[in-house]
Amino acid sequence: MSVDNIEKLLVEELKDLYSAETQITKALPKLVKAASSDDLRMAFEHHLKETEGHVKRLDQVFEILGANPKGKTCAGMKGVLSEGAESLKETQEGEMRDMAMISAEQRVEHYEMAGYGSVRSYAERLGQAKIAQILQETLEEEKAADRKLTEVAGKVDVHARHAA
Amino acid sequence: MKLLIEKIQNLRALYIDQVRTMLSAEEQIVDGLEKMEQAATDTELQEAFRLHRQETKVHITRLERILNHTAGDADERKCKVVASMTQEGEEMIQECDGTLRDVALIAAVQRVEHYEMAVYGALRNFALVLQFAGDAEALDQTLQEEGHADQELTGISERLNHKAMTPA
Repeated sequence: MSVDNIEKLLVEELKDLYSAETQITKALPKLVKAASSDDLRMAFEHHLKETEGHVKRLDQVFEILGANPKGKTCAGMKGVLSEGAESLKETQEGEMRDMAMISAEQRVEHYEMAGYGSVRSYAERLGQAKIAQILQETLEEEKAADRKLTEVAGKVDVHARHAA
Repeated sequence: MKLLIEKIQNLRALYIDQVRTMLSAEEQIVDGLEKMEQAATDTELQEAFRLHRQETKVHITRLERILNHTAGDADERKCKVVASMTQEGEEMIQECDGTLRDVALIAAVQRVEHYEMAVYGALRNFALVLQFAGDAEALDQTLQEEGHADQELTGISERLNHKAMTPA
């Protein structure tokens, strides 16, 4: 299919985000399990709930547009998540794994921020104020999740020594 | 073949590992930006991609310098993420033409910028904790430049989105 107007572009990019969010809901439970710090586990759990809400918001947006959310795989998110899974395997359980997971998850957040920033602008341009508002809410939550992770990272004892 | 992969046990090792991945990412971005510049139709956008490509080459030099003094070599580690993002950008080139293609290219490059901001932010914090003040400063400079590139693209996109609304 050829994208020849901004409404089609909006739908394409929303489908991409839909696929990204769905992938994230599957990945976050693994991070919850692998986290050592309680703060981090709670942050991941909280963001998992939020992410499920983001999928629902996207459903709402697709309903307004009368479009189908399915049918696209976000290759970008697939790559971000597979690299995160790799760094989880490669780091020693404990503080280092927590740090590696935080930095992986912050990549996910930033990727989403870029995606949501674009679709929100397209929706505004199309005069779809309701859609723009829904997308803005998610964008704010992604930003807050990123800040929360920076805060948790600051509390990880990175100089902890463990017997190998 | 090593049967037991040694796990990363300290922040220094994690830092070096992520700098190596970022070096690979930046090198892929240099190639990606060249394709984007060729595919863009708006001259201001072409120029923005060209300038950011030059900046990216400086980012590479900074990463190589960091690796040379912390690890003793500047080997890279393949970044699969940027490979998949670049692939997605190329798909958009196939799917759209004209101003709409420009708008789609901007969205694709902004994903890459945000990805880089997340990585450089983490790396700068690692460098601060490790007390590599010079590294932290260089990484912060790159982080600022990525942020600036992202803002500039937002500016161009606002103008182009408007144009994309007008039927051809």
